[in-house]
Amino acid sequence: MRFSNPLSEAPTVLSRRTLLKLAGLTTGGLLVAACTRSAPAPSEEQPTPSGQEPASKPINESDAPAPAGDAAAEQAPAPADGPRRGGRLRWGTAREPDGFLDPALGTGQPLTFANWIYEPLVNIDETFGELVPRLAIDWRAEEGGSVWEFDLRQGVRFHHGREFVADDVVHTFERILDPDFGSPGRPVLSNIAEVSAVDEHTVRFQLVAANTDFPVSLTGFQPKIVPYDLTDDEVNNEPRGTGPFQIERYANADRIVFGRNPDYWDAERPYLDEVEVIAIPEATTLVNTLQAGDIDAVDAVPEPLMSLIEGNPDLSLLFGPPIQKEYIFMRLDVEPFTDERVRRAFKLIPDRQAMAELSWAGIPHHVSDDNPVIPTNPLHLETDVWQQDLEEARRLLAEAGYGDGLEIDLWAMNDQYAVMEFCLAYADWARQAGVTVNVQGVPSDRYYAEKWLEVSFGTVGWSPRTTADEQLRIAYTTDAQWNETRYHDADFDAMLDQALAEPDTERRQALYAELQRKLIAEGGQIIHAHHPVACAVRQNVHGYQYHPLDSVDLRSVWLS
Amino acid sequence: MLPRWLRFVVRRFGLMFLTLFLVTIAIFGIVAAMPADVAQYMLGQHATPEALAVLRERLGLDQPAHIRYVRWLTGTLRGDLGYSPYLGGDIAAVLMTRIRNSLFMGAVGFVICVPLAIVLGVLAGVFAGRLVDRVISITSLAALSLPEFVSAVALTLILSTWLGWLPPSSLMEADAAPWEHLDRLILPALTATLAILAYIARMTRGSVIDVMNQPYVRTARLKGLPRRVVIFKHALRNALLPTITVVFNSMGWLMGGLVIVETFFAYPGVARLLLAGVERNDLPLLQATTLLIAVITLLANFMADVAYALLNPRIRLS
Repeated sequence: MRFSNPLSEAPTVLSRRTLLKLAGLTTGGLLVAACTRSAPAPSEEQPTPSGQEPASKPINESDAPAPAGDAAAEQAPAPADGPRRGGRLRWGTAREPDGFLDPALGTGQPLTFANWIYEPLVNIDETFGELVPRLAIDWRAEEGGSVWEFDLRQGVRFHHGREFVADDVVHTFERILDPDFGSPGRPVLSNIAEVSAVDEHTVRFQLVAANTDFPVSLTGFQPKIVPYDLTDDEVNNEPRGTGPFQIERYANADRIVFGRNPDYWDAERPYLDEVEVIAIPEATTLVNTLQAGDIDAVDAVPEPLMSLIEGNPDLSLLFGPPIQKEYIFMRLDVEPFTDERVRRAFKLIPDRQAMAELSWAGIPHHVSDDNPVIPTNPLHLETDVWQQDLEEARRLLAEAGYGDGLEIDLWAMNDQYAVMEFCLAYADWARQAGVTVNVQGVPSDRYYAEKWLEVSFGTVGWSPRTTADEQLRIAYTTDAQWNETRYHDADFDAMLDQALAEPDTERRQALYAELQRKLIAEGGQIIHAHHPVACAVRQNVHGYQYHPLDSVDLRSVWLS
Repeated sequence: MLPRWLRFVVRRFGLMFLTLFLVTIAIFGIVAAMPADVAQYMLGQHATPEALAVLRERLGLDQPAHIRYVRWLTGTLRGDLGYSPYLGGDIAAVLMTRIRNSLFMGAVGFVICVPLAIVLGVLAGVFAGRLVDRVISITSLAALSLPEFVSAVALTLILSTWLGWLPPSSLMEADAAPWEHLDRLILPALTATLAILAYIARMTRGSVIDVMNQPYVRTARLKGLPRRVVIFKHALRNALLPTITVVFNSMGWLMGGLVIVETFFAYPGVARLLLAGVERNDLPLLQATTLLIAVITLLANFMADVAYALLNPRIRLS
């Protein structure tokens, strides 16, 4: 991996990305013009079942932008006569797969495929709100959350025909927890003391410390069940899982063909016969290719290219839940942010609503009040602490001894359109409060390698975490590796541990609310919005739903 | 005693190998000095030091640099280019189809651009100073100064988006025969050779003007020969001589441009592998692709020298 995996944005391919983006915009406008000319054609060329009405409206048909804070994920329109079996989905992505198919070893893109081939015990839905049974059908906590038992699905077969049993689960977790194996999933799962098979279809996890969120930690990238009778090399090179698809062909890393698993435990699904993964590293070309009809779906569309899709009647732009974020942060342990008044002033400078509108206009985003917990998380707390107040900011700065002005560098990822937009807006407001903010642009990959954890005033992008605990623990505890703001508070750390072990739902909710309130008031993060990832599909693709961990759950996708 | 021209060829060939040897040292040295670690890449950032040590030993990374160099060199000579974590397999198995694809695309580009460039260059040269020449000269100067990532977008816009003549990407399976997908090759081939086209056209123009002012051409014209005969029989033969060298020398330039072109159009060529190697710290892949591109460039230069020498007897004597 090129840089630490918490970061949500895919790395750039070329440093000329900005230029290409601009070019893409131009191309986009022209493509739109080109499609409009041929607009009447598709309805005649592609006869669709009669009386079909879209079950939900595709976003590109609505004139008004979706309301901010709309957490509902957009679904592709579905004809009324229901899913149809068969066909090949050509799935385009700008992220090139990099050779890992072993779920326990991967961290990024290939895990999409690992999840098509291998399955976890428990899945989480795309909003990170609810757990979904997969290879486990039921689970329960014992001894106050320090022992967990899972009932396994019966009659499930691996691709090589053997039945899935509890020993496979034990093998999977022993492999991940083996320090010599070096799985990136080990830190998250290190709370597991022992995994054992109670009987053929029941497993038992003995934890080191009680964890009420334990099943959620099984939804991560790595704990996908691999069969015990496969060697490590086979797991990676000749993968055989229980998943809906199996590898048919792995060709030179830029093209992978998956075939339907005929013995999949869900008799109805998957609908597709084949899925072909096609890597096109340049986003402009990727979207052009979708437009030309050489691929059927694109996993993620960068925001400058969205207009290309919105104007095309053959394509739909689908938004996931608003759970991604890029934002500005201050480092609390260096000048001038060691002064509490300066921090307050900097948090009073931006108009978060306007900032969100600026970077995510027309995209269903959620305006945030500096809260890192994603809005779809049941524990998310809605607050209204920070309002723009330039007068008060100016007064606080004067009080802190910066009455004559303050000059500071704000480090930003210059290949991310939205980030540059909101940084420049922030700089504008800051000027009105007497602060000169110089926005320093650096390409993402270099930024994360050299600047992110060094600068005193910077930007960052985070992909969502499945639990409030992980979301808060990964960047705000004293010993967190990625604590970019250097928020160090012993009370916060203790309360976070206490919340994780708290079995009573109400008390637990109260603890998480208090944690968020504390962090919103004291933290160095200035989070103005949570936003979705946009995918694009051709009109004949149905049931396509973005998923933050798997890119997409292909089991529900079908073609007309 | 070998004939003089053969001695020249043999000496050039020997020099090419000496250069190649120096290039292997340079490639290995640069890659070895990079702060990247293949083992770290293969195991991810959470790998334990023990696991890293085991893998490093397995890959032979614990050996001193000169031993690794000799291993790499002898392996390469045997056709064993090493294991690439990105490809998930042996590099040698993949590299040959990739290089075939790249060379084929380059060939398509040359087939389109060289005749076109010569025609444009001759036109501009013959009508030097007139409107035709102005248009050709200014356009080619502009094309020459455009980087590939700009011309790629411009050509896609014109030929694919506006006119709809060509597909916007050159999607094809790496093992597929590229000659069966010619329509997908034209756009990238044109992009990759656009600058070369402009360069050759300008070179040709210059030498046509030069030759047209030579006494023998003037004599031919004063003799009363038709202009057509003077141009085609007397002038062009000599005027095109430097162009041949330029064509061969451009191949090195072409390989450089392919890194951007293949990535932009998603073409399964060797230059895209090179970029993948750079992005993922896949050092064995990076070494192999760089070396291969160096070999192609050297071979092209060698052919340029030999062709020029064979066609122009004056070179052999000097």
